[in-house]
Amino acid sequence: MHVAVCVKMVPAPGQWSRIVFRDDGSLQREGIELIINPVDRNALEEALKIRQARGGTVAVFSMGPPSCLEHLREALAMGADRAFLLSDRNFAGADTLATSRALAAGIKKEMPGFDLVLCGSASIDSGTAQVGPQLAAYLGAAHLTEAFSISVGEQNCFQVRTAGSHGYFVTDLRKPAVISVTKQLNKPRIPTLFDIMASCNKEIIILSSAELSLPKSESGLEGSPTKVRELFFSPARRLARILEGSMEDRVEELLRQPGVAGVLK
Amino acid sequence: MDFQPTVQQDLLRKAVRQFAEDEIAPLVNEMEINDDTPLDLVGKMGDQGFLGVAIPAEYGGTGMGHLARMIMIEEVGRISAGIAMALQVMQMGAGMVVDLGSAAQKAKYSPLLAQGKILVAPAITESSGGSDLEGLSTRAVDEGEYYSLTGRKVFITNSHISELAVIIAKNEGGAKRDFSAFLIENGTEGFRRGRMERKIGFHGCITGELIMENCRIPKENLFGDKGRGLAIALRGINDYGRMGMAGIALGLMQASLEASVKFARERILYGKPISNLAPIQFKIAEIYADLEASRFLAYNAAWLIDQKKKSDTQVSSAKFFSTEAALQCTRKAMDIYGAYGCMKDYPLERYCRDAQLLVPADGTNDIMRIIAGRNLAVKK
Repeated sequence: MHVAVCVKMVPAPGQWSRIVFRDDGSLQREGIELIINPVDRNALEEALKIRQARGGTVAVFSMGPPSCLEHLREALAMGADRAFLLSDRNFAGADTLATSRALAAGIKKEMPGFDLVLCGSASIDSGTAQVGPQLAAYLGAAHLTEAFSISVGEQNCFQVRTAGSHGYFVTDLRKPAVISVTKQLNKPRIPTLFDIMASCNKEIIILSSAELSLPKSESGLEGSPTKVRELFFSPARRLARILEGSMEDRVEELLRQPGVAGVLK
Repeated sequence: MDFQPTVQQDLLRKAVRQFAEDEIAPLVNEMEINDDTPLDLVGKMGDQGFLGVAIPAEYGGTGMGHLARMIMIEEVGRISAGIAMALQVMQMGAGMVVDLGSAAQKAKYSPLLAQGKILVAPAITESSGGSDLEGLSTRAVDEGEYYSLTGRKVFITNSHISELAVIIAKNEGGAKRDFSAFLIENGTEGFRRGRMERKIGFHGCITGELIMENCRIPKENLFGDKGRGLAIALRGINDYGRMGMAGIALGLMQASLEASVKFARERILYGKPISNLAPIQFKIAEIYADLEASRFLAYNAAWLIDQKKKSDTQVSSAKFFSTEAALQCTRKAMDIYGAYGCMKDYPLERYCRDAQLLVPADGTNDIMRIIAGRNLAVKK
């Protein structure tokens, strides 16, 4: 079983107050501590479990500046066999579509016989949840989002459980497949010291847009149809209201309020 | 001069920090109440390779070295000084067996020690104190086929959870400085555990007595050469014990700094966060400066040990400077919290209690000054 895992480097939550947006709407990442997007670690953990049960290889793919190399080393310490960083000035400013296109090109080139691609359901910085579905389209693979359980069934079919509004769905996916996962899927492992030492003998390969045969017009800002018009912090206010009247009236009003506020449907 | 940590050291810091936050932090409140070392946690630390950080790969460790160990103790100490203390002494015992044991002792115990499957407690201190090593009264009598040990060791870290002990004892009839070291397995006739101490801090780390009454030690359990007991004790204390104290001090200062900044940004006085007030900024700046100065002293001393260079002046200086800095920094952090700092709901009072324990352990700070001062001042 050959599994590719896509990971994104995102600003550490403690650093969010230091994030600066450029005029083009992209993030100024220099000087900001990055981490592996937390739910992407769940994707990697699941890939490692599948390899442990079924054999095969696990390769990690990411796109970003060279500073992402140290985080890919962390993925190797968790147990991935290989890591690929798509790093090139042409990739800068990519939206989700250009990112998916580049990641798909990387997977096709370096892991053409893949059985499964796993990625986190959304990143904690932009949170679009678009890369998984777009990646599946570029790879021509079946796809599910919001998976909280994956098991490898007969004939290399994946049985996937995904959350629904009043329960969950159980779906069989034939390989090759792309699955976006949630935090409920597993608990990511912490690398042991032995894993850390072993990771230093593993290779991280940097791939350029030329090596992936991606012209500039299909990469980065130029290849991105998304144009950011404005970025702003959505104001969040606490709503405090003291209910008055008899106990019955107050209870009735209380039961009505969550629906009015849109908290409960 | 390259201040950049290696890739391995960076990954180690991240992994240990995550482990400490995920696995140790949830146990801290319980340890404060029952003052017990969670053995499940010890097993997990063994599985992660924590006990073998400074043990070479051929003996079951990773050989990452003493600087890596310092970073590890700092990260564990940031969450729990008690567990950091227990861990650093486990590493000290394992390290002493690998560094100083016979080939047979290394082969028998090292892989198990490196994985935390068994623990060894170095036992040097007696009721007369730990600094005056020549005043130790535990006696070893050579009975021909075995050694007979009699004496009482006190303030021994991990005394009641270790399967092995390294005992320093005076050779009966020998000269003033004629001491030897012995390995004793738990269950040996005449060897037992005594009382457990109740300390003001380091909760989660067991400290107690080990008692020998005509305890028969097989000849092959002599640890190192006969008559080298004091040298063995000092090597373990210098390379592991004192460095461990400095590492815990760094962890307590880092925790104090983070707690102070967080509280100062959230606490509103006169309509503004107190982080805007100069006296609060002064305290935070002083904590930071003390932490960084201590860190450079401690890292340099650990690096010297890794390079197998003479390090007692640097180790002693790092020990007294960083532990006294930790006392001051934890107190300043408590001051920033005001009355909240005196409440058990916040960790500040725990940091202060833990910092005080760093001062006498592994050689008092006055002894540290004597070592460094004598090395620097006395003409040789």
